[in-house]
Amino acid sequence: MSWKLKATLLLGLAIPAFCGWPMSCFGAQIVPGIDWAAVGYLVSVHLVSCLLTGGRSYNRILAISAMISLPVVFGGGSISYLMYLLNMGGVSDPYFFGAHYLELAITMLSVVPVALSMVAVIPMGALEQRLIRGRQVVTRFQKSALMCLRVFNHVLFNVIPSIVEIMHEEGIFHTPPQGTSDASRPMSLGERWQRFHCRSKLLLQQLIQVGVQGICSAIEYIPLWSVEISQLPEATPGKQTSDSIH
Amino acid sequence: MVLVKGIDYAHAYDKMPLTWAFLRTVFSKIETGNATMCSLCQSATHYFNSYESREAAFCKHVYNLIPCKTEGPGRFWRDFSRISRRIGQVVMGPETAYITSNPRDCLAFSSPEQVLWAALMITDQRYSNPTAQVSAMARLFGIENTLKQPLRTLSGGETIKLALAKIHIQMQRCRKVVIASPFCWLSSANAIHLHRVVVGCRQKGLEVTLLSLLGEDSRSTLAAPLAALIDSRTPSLHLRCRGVTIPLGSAVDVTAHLPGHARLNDIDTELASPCLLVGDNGQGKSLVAKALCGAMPIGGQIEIHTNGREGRARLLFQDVLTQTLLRSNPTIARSHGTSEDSWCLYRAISRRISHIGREMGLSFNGDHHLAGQQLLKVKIMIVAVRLCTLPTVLVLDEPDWGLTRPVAIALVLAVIQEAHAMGVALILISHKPWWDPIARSMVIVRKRPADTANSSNLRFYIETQVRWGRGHVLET
Repeated sequence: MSWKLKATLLLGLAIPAFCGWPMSCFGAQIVPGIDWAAVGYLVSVHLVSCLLTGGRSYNRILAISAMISLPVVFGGGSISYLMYLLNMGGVSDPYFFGAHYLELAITMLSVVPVALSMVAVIPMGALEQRLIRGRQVVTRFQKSALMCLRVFNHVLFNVIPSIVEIMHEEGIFHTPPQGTSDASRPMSLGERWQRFHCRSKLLLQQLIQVGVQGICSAIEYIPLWSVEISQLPEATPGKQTSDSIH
Repeated sequence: MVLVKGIDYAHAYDKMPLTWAFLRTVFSKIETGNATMCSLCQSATHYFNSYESREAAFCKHVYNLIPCKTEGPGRFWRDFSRISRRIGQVVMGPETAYITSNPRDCLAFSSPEQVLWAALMITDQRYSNPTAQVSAMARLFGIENTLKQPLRTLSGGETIKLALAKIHIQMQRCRKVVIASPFCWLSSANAIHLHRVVVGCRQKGLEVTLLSLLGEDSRSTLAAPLAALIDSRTPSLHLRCRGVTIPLGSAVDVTAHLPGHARLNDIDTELASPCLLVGDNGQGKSLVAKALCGAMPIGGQIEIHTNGREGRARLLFQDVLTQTLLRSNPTIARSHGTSEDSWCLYRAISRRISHIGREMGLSFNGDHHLAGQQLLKVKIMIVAVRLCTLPTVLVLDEPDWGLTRPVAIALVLAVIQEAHAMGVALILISHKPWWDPIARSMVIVRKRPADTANSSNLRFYIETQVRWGRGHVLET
């Protein structure tokens, strides 16, 4: 199956995620927050994604989706419950926000795999290549597409891997506790809490730094590249847009 | 002339007068060629005493289109906002051809083939066969085997060769050429490519400007008194690698169309610190370093013991600015939860740098020598934080990047002294001959292409060869 057909199928599959139709027509709920249509959509997304991308890619997609969705859902739910217990911020009864987080979990586990499947199916690198190869002039639309693809590919294949390498090297998820303590001595509850608090704070700080670096690296060379891409000769209405290459 | 201890080549050549005469003629021709090449490049070079001043000078040539990233996210964001407001107004045009200090950043396309093709389009020439033109240019600059590869998978050396090839094409139309720091990326074997570009520019009457840091283009080795600053009792490093495969390309690729992997040959060897990891551009030195330090999810097994102690290896990346994640030094110091220890080590290394600087006859005065050397401060802090975790090995990947030669020498010697005092072994990665006299062991890294018929997506083999054992020192 060609990637164009796969991309079209995935785009079709993404329509309910974007506009809610036709799921809104089937409102029967299993439990508050989860209705039959959402579950049906979730199942079909994963089925189609597995069929179109292949087992190996689907495994990665599933892993990344879970890594993104579950912390957001469980983190959000836990914070809301804590706020409810402490009577802060006017948080409503867990019965209501529980339904909200269940819905969020189903939505994220459907939307993220669709987006990742599109990334997996559409050959962004090859598309970027194709926009120039065999041409001596490009249209304004092609220049814009080139710029978008450049930034996308730069983020996916350069910025993220570089940051991941740095995180691996720094062992960001294996940060040692502050100070040295006798490893053989059992720690008290207070010490354990202190260590957990330090680690969480440090991890949060490092994740923020990673995010800031990611955003800055992604946009850093946009001005320079936009000037470079704008230098490509532009097709005028009467000019030939592509020359055949033998 | 004693090249390797115990073998006097001059004496050997005296026994063969005809061969000697022939070789002498060849060597003299090479030396004359090298001298001409060096002087030609030097005449086009402007020297700076810090990375920051050189970047500032380069930015002016590209209409200040690059935001500053050495002073934290606040400054970056202000710069970027200012630049983005000007994007529509700046008309740089094809008259300026340039290479940024990290050559990958000036390549606005995804593969070498596309970069060269776009360069042909920008020069707006009607080639009868552009594909052949791109191939010919790739062959000229020695990147014909990497034409279809994503830029991400190219080594630093291959990237600068590609950037030079692009400039060689743009030369047809541009009026000036500006290259930031070409000497820190190109090995001496590949300096010919830079020379070709400079000669081409001169022949066309173009203005060519090479922006370099002081001494960056020097090919001389470290002076003997400085080499003697390294203690002869150095940590012993035992390295064992079995069945190591290193993935190439994106670690977050969901497409499963990975660009393949490289395989490292099995190693089981004893090395003396500092160990020099050498190899030409694009031979896989940095890949090996990243594999050793766990920066990449490798297959197989790597074991490192220093003086019988097992543990992690840590790495100072060549692109140290990315490694900072835009953090300031106090934030980097806190990154392992050992802020006080990091600052103690930072001060100890700084003191050693001052001391070595004085030995070198430089006007280093206390901590003032660090003023205006933001990149040096960052490197010291990154090293200090890593040493705090007491690794088995500290790998310095091209530690001279972004530093002048005297400052780089002072930094490397200071780090070696400090690491050895803590019982940590050092691996130095460099294509420059500067460090030969201080190396106590040497590993040569070479790339060997894999059989094209293989089905396991194996791209190439990285072969390492231990050249010197413990106690053998190069004499010149």
